[in-house]
Order: sequence, then C-alpha cells, then structure tokens
Amino acid sequence: MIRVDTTSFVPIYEQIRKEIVRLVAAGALKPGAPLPSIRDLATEILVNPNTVARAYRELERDGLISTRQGSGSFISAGASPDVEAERKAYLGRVFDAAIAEAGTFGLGAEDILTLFEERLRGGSRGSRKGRPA
Amino acid sequence: MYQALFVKEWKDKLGLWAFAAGILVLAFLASAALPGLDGRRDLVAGVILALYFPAMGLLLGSSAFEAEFRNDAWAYLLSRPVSKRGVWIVKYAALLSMLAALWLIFAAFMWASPALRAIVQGLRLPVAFRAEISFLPWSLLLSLFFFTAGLSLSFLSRKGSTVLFAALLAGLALACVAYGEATILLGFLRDEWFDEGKWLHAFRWGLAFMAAALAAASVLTFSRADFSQPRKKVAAFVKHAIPLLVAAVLITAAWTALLPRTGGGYISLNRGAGGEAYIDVFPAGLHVYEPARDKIHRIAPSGFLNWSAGLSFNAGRKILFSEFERGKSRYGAVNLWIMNADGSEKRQLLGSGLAPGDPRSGLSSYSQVLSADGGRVAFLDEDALRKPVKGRSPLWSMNADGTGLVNHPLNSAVFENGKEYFVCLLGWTAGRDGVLIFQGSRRSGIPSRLWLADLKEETSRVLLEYPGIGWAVTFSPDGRSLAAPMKTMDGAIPHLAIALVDLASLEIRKIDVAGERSINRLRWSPDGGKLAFFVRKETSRGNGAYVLTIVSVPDGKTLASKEMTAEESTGQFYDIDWLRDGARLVFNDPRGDRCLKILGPDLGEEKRIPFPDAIRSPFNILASDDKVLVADGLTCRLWRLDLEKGSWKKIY
Amino acid sequence: MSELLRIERLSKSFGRRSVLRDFNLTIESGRVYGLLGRNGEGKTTLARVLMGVIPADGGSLHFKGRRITFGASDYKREFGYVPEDPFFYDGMTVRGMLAFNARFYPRWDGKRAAADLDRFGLEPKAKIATLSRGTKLKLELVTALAAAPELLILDDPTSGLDVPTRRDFLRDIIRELAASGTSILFATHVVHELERVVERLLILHGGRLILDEDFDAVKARHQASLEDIFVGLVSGDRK
Repeated sequence: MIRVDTTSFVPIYEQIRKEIVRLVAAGALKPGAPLPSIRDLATEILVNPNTVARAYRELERDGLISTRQGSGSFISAGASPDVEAERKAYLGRVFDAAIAEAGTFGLGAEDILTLFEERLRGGSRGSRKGRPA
Repeated sequence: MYQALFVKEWKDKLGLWAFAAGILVLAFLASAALPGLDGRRDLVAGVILALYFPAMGLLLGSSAFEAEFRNDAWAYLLSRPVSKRGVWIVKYAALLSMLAALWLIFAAFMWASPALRAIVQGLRLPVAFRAEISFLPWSLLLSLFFFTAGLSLSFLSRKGSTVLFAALLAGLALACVAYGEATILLGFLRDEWFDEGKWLHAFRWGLAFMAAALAAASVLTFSRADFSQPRKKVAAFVKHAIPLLVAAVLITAAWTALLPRTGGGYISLNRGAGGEAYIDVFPAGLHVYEPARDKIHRIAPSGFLNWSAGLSFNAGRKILFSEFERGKSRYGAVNLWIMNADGSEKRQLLGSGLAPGDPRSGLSSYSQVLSADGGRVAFLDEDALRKPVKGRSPLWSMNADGTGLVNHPLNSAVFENGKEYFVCLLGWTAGRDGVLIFQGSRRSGIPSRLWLADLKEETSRVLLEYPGIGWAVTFSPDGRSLAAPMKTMDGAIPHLAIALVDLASLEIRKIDVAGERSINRLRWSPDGGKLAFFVRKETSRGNGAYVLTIVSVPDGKTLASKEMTAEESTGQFYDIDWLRDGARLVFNDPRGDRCLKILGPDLGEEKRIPFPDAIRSPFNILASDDKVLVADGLTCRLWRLDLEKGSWKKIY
Repeated sequence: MSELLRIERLSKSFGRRSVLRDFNLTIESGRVYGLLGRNGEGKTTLARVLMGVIPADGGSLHFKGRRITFGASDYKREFGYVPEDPFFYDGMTVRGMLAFNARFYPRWDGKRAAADLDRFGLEPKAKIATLSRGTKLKLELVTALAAAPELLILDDPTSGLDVPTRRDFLRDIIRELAASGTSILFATHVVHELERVVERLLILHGGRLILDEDFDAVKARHQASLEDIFVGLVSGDRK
C-alpha cells in the first residue's frame, strides 16, 4: 500500500506522511479507518519503526490521525472536512513543483499556461483513467 | 557460565580421553594376564608411570585450545561475556580433571590389586645416598608438569602437532634447567646442605616453580593476546615467560636453601657402659633411650661422635663428644666436650668458645679417646694431620678437666704419608700411659697397622700389621680388651682372624676364623664371653655368602655358625646385636624377608617380626632390655620394637 | 535518550598498518547507527575491538557513564553481535549452541529463541557445520536477539547473502527495533539497506569518523542519495 523510495531526497518519514495524506485525500482511507500499527507497517515496508512513529506523530499533530492507547491509530473523524483542503493543498504542491520545474527551462507564465492546456486536451485521452493510485 | 565451558571441554575432548583411558585399561589387563612374570609386571608398571602419565599430561594440555582454532571459534568464545583469565582457568581445570580421571582409573586398579600396589610402591630409583626417586609421586609431578607446559603453549599455534612438540621441548629444556640448578646449588651450598636428599627437593621444586612460571606467562599473554596476529602472540608470550622463568629459578634457590634439613644428617646407635642405648642424630644431637619411659631424650646438642666411640662411653660413665660447628671444617669435629653419662656437668675441652689466649681454643679434634677411669683425654689435631707442623705432632693429651695439655711428638712413621693412610685413635691402655693408634691403609696392597704410642717414653711401636682395610675394632664390655678383625695373606691365600688385645698387658691373641673375604659386625656378648660376627666367604657362585658365627672368647672355639641364605646375603645393611639375656641374637634382614629375626644359641630362627612399611632402610639395631631399637637410615628415624608384644613404635 | 556507550580515542594497528586512529563515537540508547566504510577500512576491526575479540591498542571506553576496559564481560552481557563471517564450534548443534549461550546472558529468553528458530526454519538438531552461511548468520542473529541486548552490533552480516535472506534479516531487525527499542550499530557497505533503517549516519574513513550526523539532516543538506554522498566522501584518496 505504502511505498518508499530510498533514493529520493525526501526523508522517509515525510514520504510516509505524504502517502497517508494522499490516500486519505484520494478517499482510499476513510475517516475512522484503522492504520497499521507502527510495528506492522515498519516490518512490511522495511523501514525503521522510529521513522514510522515520527510520521504518525506528525499526522497526529496535524490532526489527520488519532491514536488511542491499546487500540492503535485511526484516521480522525474530523479529517473529512479537510479532505478537500488537503486535496487542494496536495495538488497545489504538485502544481507548484511543476511550475518551478518549468521555470528552470526559462518558460514564462504564459508559456506554461499554453503548455498546460495542450497537455490537458491532448494527453487526457489515455492518462486520466489509467493514472496509477 | 563457566560450568558451561567446563562441560563443553569434556564434550569436545571426550574422544581423546576415551582413547587415553583405553590404553591404560588395556595395559593393565595385559599385565594382569602375564602370569608369573614378575619382572615384566615391574616393567609395565614402571613404563606406565614413567611414560604414560607424563605423555598423557602433555597430550591433554597441548590440545587445550585446539577446538578454538577451528573455524575461528576463538572469536566466538571471546565475543561472549567471559573474562579471558576465566576462560584459561576453566580450561586448565577441565583438562586437569580429565588427567585426574585417568589417575583415578589407575588408583582403582591399584586398590583392586594388592600385588600391583606392592609393585608400584616398590618402584624406586636411588640416585644418591638417602635420596631416591619413587616412581609414583614423580610420575604425578611430571604429568602435571608436562600438562601445564602443554596447556600454557597451546593457544600459541593452531597446529596441534606444533604445540605438542614445542611443549615437549620446552618441558624437557626446563627440566634440564631445574636439574642443572639443583646440581649447582648442591655444589655451592654443600656445607649447608649435608645430604643429597635436598638435591631431589631442589629438582622437584624447580619443576614446580617453572611450571607455575609458564602458566603465569600463559595467562598474562592470553588475557592480552590478539588472536588475529599470531606472531605477536608468540612474541608476547616469550616476553612474559623469560622474566617469570628467571624468577622461578631464583625462587627455587631461595626456597630450597631455606627448607629445613629434614632427613639430613644421619642417625647411629651406640651402646654405653651400663648397656644404655645412645642415639646420635645429626643435626639434632646426642640422645639416650630410657626403656622405662620408652622415650628418648636429648642430652647434648648437635654433634657427631668419634667413630671409635666405644671407649668414650665406658670410662667412668663419662661421655666424650664433639660438637660439629658448621662452616668451620669440612672433615673433622671441632669443639670437644666432656660430660657425665646423664648429660650433666658439661665442660668444653677444645675449640672456639674457650678463652682466646687458651691454646686449646685453636685446636680441633679429629679423633679422641677417654681413658678407662675417665681421667685423661687423648686426641688428634685435625689441622696438624693435614698440614704437618715441624716439632709438633698431631697427638695431644690432657686431663679430663682440660688442664695439663701436652703435645706428644712421637718419632715415628705413624703420622706420615697421609695420602696412603688415615689415622685414628682407638683407646687408652689400662695403665693410662699409652694410646692405641690405628693406621688404616686407603688402598689394598698396603697393610694396615695397629700402633701403640707410649706417652711416657714418647715412643711408638707396631702391635699388629695386616693387609686389608677393615678397622672396625670393638671394646669388650668391661673395657679391658679390644677385638679387631684382620686379614693376612699367605701368598695368594687369605686368612681371616680376630685379634684380641689385652689393654693392660698388651698381649695379643688371635682367633682364627674360617672364611676368605672379610669379618663384619663384630659384637661382644654382654658378659664379654662370646663374640658374634659375620664372615664373608667365597662360594661356588662367585658372590660371597655370609656366615653368622659365634666364638667363645676364652678358648676361641666356634660355638655356632650358620650360613645365611642367598637372600639374606645380598643385604647391605644387615646388623646383629645380642639380646640382653646374652644367649640370643637379633638379626636385621632389611632386604629379603624385611624383618627382625630372633636367633637362638644354635643360631636357629626362633621368631621373626616383620618391619612396618614405614621403615624404609633399617640398618642399625641395638637391643635394650626387652626392646630392640632400629634406626632407619633413609628417613633418619628411630623405631622401637617391643619383643614381648611384637609391637612397633616410632620414637624419633 | 541516554548515553549507552562512549568510545574515545580508540586506536588499533596491525603491525605497521594503522586501521583505527583517534576514533571517537557516542552511542545512545534506542537509536540506529549506520556505519559506512570501504572494505578493509576498519568496520570489522571496530566491532571486534568492542566485543573484546581483539585487544585495543589505545583509547577509553565508557558504558553508561562508567569507565570500562575493552572486552570486559559486564558490558558485553548487554551486547549482541552478528559478525561478518560466522564463527562457531563445529561440534555443536543449533540447540547446543543456544544452550551454551544461555548461560552467559542474564536476560536470555529461551522461548523467544525457540520461536525465532521456528520462524527462520532452523532445525534445532542440525549440526552447525552443515549449515549454509546464511543459515549460520541467522543463527547468530537469533542468538544475539535472544540475549535481549541493549546494543546490537551488526558487522556487515548480509553481504553475500541472497535477497530473500537479506530481507529476512532486515525484517527481523526491524521487528526487534519495534519491540524493544534496542540500539543498533549497523556496519555495512550495502548502502540501500541502510537507508531504510538508519537514524544516525557514520562514515569511517582513514581510521576515524569523517561523518557523524543525523541521517535526515545529511540527506537534506547534500540533496543526494546516500550512495552518492558516501562515494563522494571516501573516494579519491584510497591508499
């Protein structure tokens, strides 16, 4: 379910956190759904449990998950209203990254917009459905 | 945790141990199955003790760290939470317990077979007088020694054969060092030592201390060794071992020098005027035996008596004795003393301790005699004997209170030629005006002579001359005559006789004795009427046989004679004495039957009493009342046999 | 986070070749340390010196604040060790080896050891000499973990093992981490395995640590993969 990329420069805990957020945003993890225990997740994806713990801590700090002693961690009930915001925030970050990237090629705002429309119209036939989860 | 290591060692080496135990068991079964071959059994037991146990010790020790070298198991062991010193000690303990198990098997066989026990306990190798190696304890010592050597070296190489040979070489080399040290020490400190028994001690302790040094070097090196650098390990071991071995050598020297001279010196029995038994023990002192209390008590400090001590006792119940001062002289006695027979009224007659201006303080007596009435003392000055001084002879006399010191420059050949003769005084004549001097030849072919020195006339003459070296004269119980064994040659035919010298008239009567070789152990009966002795005669077998003979003194007739058996004849330290009833003899048979035999007037055996095992070398016996005293030359101990009860008691 | 082990100025040479010199490291409890270093540059030597297999030439060691000698048995009771090449007594069985070790460690958990054996598929009666290298290493890990150590020293244990075995190893280590928060000193040159678990990154080069930093911080600063970081720091001046 969750995969980490050790070659990425992003710290693993951040990758885990982002993945969970993305899953919640995509609706794959609904509010109240249980999360695997730190131990189980760590053993499954083969990362340091401390790393998982840190990811969970940050999620809890953000209010996305809540932990109950003895029962484990769950997606917070209150996460749902924020799903939209999270979605927006997430996608916003994706777009920001793309814009930054384009900027390195020397594209101005207008060129970026033109390219974006092109991709949206032309590349949409195949890509929308088959987007990996 | 160390228990786990201990058990692991046994599991690892069980095969090796079983192999060793198997050999042992086979050897015993084989030796038991050899019927009637007594010599062979000796051999087997001797081989087992001399070779097997040290070899097994070496083998077990050398294999100590073998398992650790396979597959780098040493790294496994050392990465466990164990102290290295603990590991070494547990290995030592475990492998030692295996060696001990082998010894236990041996002990079991010994316990089960009394015959084997007798053989093993009899296995002894005499190396010097009063020093012998008995196989059993030495085998134990050597097996421990080689075991320790093997184990100490076993972590230095991964090749078992290398360790084995290195340990064997090291063990042999160190044994040589210990041997050499003991010999050198004996050479340098002989004055302090006085017997070869201490040489054996030094050798033993040398081995023990060296083994300890090796073990200490091994533990030290092991604790700090880097197993991944083998050459550094060996270098470190050598660096530790050398100073420790040097220390071991020094400690051995100091330790054995300080050891008390147990068993040193000697013990001899002498009869006093009233028939008392005097026991001279060096270095303990002169003791007298009290039959009533069945004890001995000391009457004078250390000293050794002049060997022709008979007359020194008889005279007026006084005793003339010499006190040996260590370091002063190698040969003779110094510090001459006189005292009553009960030890009272001691007075120093010669030697240091007297006033420096007194001429007697510079004299030392090599041989001294007391006149029959206890009034006069004659002696030979040791220094003058060895370095003749012109105008002064070695012969002196004085009163028994030390006054009237007179030198007697006899014009005679008595004191010449010290290389080929030795001289000693035998006694005073009855009239107190003469002294009998024995001039004994040191080699065959030169006759020995009995001289009479006339102190009044200052002359001397030869009373008896005969070839042969024997000089064991004895005085009659009343002190009036002297009996001397002698041997004359009539061409090639030897003739034995006993010369009886009357000390008053100086008449000499000879009693002929049948025999060819020698007369030994001449003993007067308590009433002076009989003489008992051994004659050594030729036999067809070529070795001499001993004939025990009793002759009557007045007429020289042979009253009884008995040829001793071949077994009895091979004894070197046999002795006889008259029982106080004057009719029977007690005979000491130390080798063959190992017992005391009571012989009747016809020399038939009436009774025999076996020696206890603890008496190792009985050589001197003396009858006192209804008891017999036996001196053990090897252990320097005195035993008393109660003839009536047949019981033994060690009284010194 | 308390100080578990502090190594100061450790040095070790083999003949004239100096492998560790002025090596300093502090290990805190409950953290995973990744020790990277080129082959033959001292990772194994460090592990061996710590475990008392070979003696140190110089330096000092503090265990929980108390000064201690290298290789002393009291701190080794708290350590587990999986070496690069398994060493063992060839006469022993798997069960025998565990029973042997049980006597040395005060917190030995026999049940856990049995369960681990089961999980790894190790046959208790098997003779160690007959096992493959990977199996032997698994046994070493089982032994190390059964002692409930406070510090687990792993000296390149997975090199040369096939991928499934390596995964097994990693999984077991992680399980241990999750269960008891053991500190781990993970020496290796298989970089990508390290990345998954390391919290503090150590790089050994020229006999001492040239890097001793939080892994995430290193990654963020260098903005490169661990492999690139490592190679960048250690290559170029190989003697």
